Formats: sequence, structure tokens, C-alpha cells
Amino acid sequence: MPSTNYSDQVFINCPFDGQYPDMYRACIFAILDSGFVPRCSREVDNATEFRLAAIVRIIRDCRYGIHDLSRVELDPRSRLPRFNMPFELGVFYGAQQFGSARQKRKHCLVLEKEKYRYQKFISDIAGSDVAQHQNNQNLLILAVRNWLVTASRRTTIPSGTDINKRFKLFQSDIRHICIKGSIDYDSMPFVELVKNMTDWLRHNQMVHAPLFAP
Amino acid sequence: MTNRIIKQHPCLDSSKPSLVEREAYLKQLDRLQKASQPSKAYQEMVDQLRKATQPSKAYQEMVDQLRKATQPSKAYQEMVDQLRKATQPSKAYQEMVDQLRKAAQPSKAYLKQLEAAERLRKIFEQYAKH
Repeated sequence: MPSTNYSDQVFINCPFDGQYPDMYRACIFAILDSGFVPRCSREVDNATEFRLAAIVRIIRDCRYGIHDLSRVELDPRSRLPRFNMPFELGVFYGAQQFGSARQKRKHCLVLEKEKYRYQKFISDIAGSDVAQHQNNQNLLILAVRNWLVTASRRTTIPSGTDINKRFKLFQSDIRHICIKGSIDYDSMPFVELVKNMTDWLRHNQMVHAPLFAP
Repeated sequence: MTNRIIKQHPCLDSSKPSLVEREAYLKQLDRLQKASQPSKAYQEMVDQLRKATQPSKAYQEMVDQLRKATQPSKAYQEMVDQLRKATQPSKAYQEMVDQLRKAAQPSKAYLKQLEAAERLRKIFEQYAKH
């Protein structure tokens, strides 16, 4: 398997709560099926590394970043908003602005539930490209795929329809395997999920026609 | 046509198989086991050949009838037994034969006299040589 480099890695700054687990999985799958490597703070299992230090390290390794702000809302118990995602978007933006020449090549996609909702809590990013997914995994996959095609100019990325179909097939297969092995799919750690998706994609290879003439 | 490359996450341990990979191995094993078994068509052909090489029922019946026909009849067998008994010597005849055989043997005294005469003959022969 080829080694990963800066231009292959995509930082995922998405909500990991149990309310929309398939959205999170769809995002990871779309990145892998497009030929990129998903990275996120959940891959860190080293208790000695500070969470923020780990996030900074991962952001430094990634040329691309996906920031889903759809879950920035008041916590029902504390009545306080969750700021982790806008904060990590700020770190990514800062790296792009103040980093080395390599860091200046960073690209990011901001995702929202509804159009213009972000302007109510983070109006500074007004004017940036913000895609909406309406908590729909098909729209999320399409947004991630289209943005990766535009940002990377790669011609080997499958169509959104293909990725969607394959994601549904993967979900069906992995759920079947988990039921057979009495494994709780919903609590599967990020690294294990990525490993299963990678292996599934390797066993279900498809050949793509180039999007653009060479 | 170009093939998209699936890249490896830096945190993944490629030496340990995932659930998906394990399932794929099991399916592969299943396929190989099925492939190593003879196909249904082959099995049917073998059955047909086995049936074709077995003698037909009519032939088997004919062989049984021939076997019965070549066996001697019961009446013939009884007659042969009676003849065998009839040609065997009677007990009285057998005893008489035994007595005659004993009577024809030379007596002990006669045998002693014969030995003595034989010795005398050898002695006379030795004298005659000298």
C-alpha cells in the first residue's frame, strides 16, 4: 500500500456525537473512496499527548480540512454552545495564513446544516465557500467529493453517485459482519472504522474513467 | 481508464486483519472448498457411468436361471448318494478281509526259523569262499 503524504491527507473536524453517526462515517468513506486519507483527533490513543497538541500535529500533516459546523448548538444540559469545531477551523485557518509555504497550500471545506445559519454565530467566515448537507449523507458525500475534485484537480475521483452506492454497500456488509461477530458497530473506534473501510475498498476495487482529458 | 489508489492511514497496523478482511478470507476459503468438490454435472456423469456398467436386471435374471439349471437336481443327487453307499463294502466283508490279511502274514516262529536259516546260509557262503 502506498505511503501517505501531505497532499493526500484530509483533516476531519466533524461532530462525533451519536446523533448522526452515519454522517460522520459517510464523510470518512467519501474521503477514502476519493483516494485520500482521513485524519482526525479520534485517531490519537496516546494519553501523554495533549489533545490540542495532537490536533495541531494532525492539522500540520493535512493539506485539506473538512469542518462541519452543523452541530454548533446549545448543549441541552449546560445551555452552552460547543466551540471545539469553530476553534479547530480557526487553527486550520491560522496554519494556512501564518504557516510555511507548504501550509499555505491548505484548502478547507466548511459544512453547515442550513444555508447562512453559520452567519449567526461565526460571521467572520461570511464570503467563504460553505456547503450545506441538511443532515443528509448523500448531500454530504456529494459536497465532500465535489470539493476534493475542485481542490485537488485529481481525475481519478469517482462520481458522487458511485460513492453513495458503495457507501451503502459497505454499511450493509459491515453491519452484517458485526451482527455475525456480536460487535457493536456504533461504538467502533475511528481507527478500526478506517481500517475496515480501507480493506473493503481494496476488496471492492473499481476502475474510473478520468474526469478530464489528459 | 485509470485506477484510483486507496491509501493507507498512518495509524493503521497493516499486519492485523480487519473484520472486513477476515470475512473476505473466510469467503475465499469457502469458495476454494466448494471449488475442490466435484461439480454436480461431474457427479451426475459418474452416476450415469456407474449405472451403465452395472449388468441389466434381465441379464442378472438370466444368469440366475443358468446357475440353477447347471446345478444337479435333487433326485440325481439322492441317486448318486445311494450308489456311493451301495458300492461301499459291507462290515462283514471288511472283517473277513482283515482276518484274511492277518492269516496271510507269516507266524513269529516261522520268522525266527527263517532268520536262523539265513544266518546258516551266510556262514556256509563264507566257508565256501575260503
